[in-house]
Amino acid sequence: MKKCVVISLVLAMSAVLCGGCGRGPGPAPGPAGARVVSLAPNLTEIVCAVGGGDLLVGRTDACDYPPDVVGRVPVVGGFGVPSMEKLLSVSPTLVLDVDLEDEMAGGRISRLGIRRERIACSRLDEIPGAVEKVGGLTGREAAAAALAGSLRARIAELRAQNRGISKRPSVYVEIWHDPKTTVGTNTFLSEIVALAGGHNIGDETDKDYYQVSSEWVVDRNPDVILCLYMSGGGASGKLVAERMGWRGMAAVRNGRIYDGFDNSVLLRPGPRVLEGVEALRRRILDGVPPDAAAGHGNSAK
Amino acid sequence: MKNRKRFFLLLAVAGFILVAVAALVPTAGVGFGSWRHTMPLRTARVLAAFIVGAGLSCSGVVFQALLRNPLAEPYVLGVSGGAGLGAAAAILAGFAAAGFMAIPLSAFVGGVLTLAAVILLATDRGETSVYGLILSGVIVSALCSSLLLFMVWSAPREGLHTVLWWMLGNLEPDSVALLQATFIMVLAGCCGSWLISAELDAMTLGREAAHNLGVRTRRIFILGLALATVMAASVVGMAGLIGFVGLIVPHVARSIAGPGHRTLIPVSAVLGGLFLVLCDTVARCVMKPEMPVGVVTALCGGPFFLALLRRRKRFSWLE
Repeated sequence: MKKCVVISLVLAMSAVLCGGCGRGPGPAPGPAGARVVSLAPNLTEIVCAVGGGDLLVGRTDACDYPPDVVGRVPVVGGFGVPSMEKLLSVSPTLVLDVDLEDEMAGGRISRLGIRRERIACSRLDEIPGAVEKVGGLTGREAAAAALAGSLRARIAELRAQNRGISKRPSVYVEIWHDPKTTVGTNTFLSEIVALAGGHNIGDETDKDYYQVSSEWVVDRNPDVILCLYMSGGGASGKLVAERMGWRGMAAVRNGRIYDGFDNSVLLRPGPRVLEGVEALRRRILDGVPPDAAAGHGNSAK
Repeated sequence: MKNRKRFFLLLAVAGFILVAVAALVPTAGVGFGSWRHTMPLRTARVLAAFIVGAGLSCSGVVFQALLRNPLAEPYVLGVSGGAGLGAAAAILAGFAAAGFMAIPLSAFVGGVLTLAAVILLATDRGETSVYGLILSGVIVSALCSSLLLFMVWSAPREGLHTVLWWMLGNLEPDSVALLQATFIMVLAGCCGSWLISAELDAMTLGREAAHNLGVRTRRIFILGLALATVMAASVVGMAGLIGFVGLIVPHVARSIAGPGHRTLIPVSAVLGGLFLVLCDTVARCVMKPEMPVGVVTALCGGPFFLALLRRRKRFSWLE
């Protein structure tokens, strides 16, 4: 009996939605009246960056930017974990996700007649493509093409500048301190460090995230230490310097332990990623002669 | 007797060699070139492993004697759950940045509070029953686990992993002060339980028999529980949860040194320490990146224990 009620409700809702598709007073050209739900914080940012913020009708509890949109759009679940009931309650026509925790949920969304698009956006080079795809889906192609173009150009420019650095500073990225955990190659963070002109010492392992010992860090003797703790952390850099046996390390001796980054910028493959990279680049290349950094500091151009 | 003396001498020499070798062997991926900087770190880690292993197995001996149960181990009365809860609360509240002692101290407090709650629950009209203790221990543990799950669930998504990571166990001390504090706690616990070893012998006969032998059973019972818990909670605070050591080393030690606590306590402390040093060395040297040490203790300890069980049944409690 209950099932019948739910099914009829769903049917009624989709009927209403289908009816609504044609007459929507869309604010811009494209799929007028699209009602978009984003199931990832970086996609929420992309939708807003291409000017589709007014189409958003649902987001996750992890979406925290841009603040004005976040304050207005209701939460329909966690990052990659939609609550079906809440999702249906906002009557979406398009659901965007990077990856769903439970792939079955994707099938369920599609079966409800809602268009579901998976958008690959977990690596640096995937960001411009994701921007274009989101632009196409939301009818904001022009804005998306401009944004994607500028991201591609800036990434290429930074990479060209990095080729001029004779010796890249070695960087130890600590994402948690107890036990000490760092990131391996094939992670977004490792790409970010590379784009910022550094060399991630964790790159010698192809695991995503793994535990390391003090001994290993001391042996590698990094030039820079970045504290990017995933849950709070505050003034963690000071504690790192005071660790047993860490005092002799180059990064500690030279006071090059950095914390207090905005993780929502740095750890999120979204449109603001280059802001984070610029901030990181200033720190990592701090002290590297400008000629060696080949144009480092010309970021305003 | 002569054999036994020779055995203890052998144990001491083997132990010394093991500790020295463990401190010399570099972790996988670390070269010998930087030995001047890495040696002190490794030595601290080996010492930490010894202290944690000794604390866990000594605590296991006392729990097994007091609860008269061969399955008793340091975590049986909910110390692990309480400590995990304390650590999780500290991590999620953002105390982690307050200093090296913040998480260990919260874990210690959590563990001790849990034991106090378990004892209170199991005490009826001034009498604390063994079965009451074990039952309320199990239930309080389950309660702590569900609270922990709730906290992890309600925490910001990223906070989740850090708590689970902490639970896996890690023997690397970040500060000398933490190592010293744990050492003092474990030493006090071992010495304290050694001092009541005659009473513990009597308690293994049952509380009534012990009472008739002139033991103040209630006082010894509470004192023993407190000592064992202090040891367990302080090592859990420093190193997270490391399974198996506190359960199997006491049995192995008993099959070697006999059931008398005067020798059993020091032998299991030393054996437990050496066992964990060995396991941690394996954990950090065999694979890169290193394995969680709890995996190694279970993998090495389990089969060894089973073999021992089949060969020397008559010496252990497991008949």
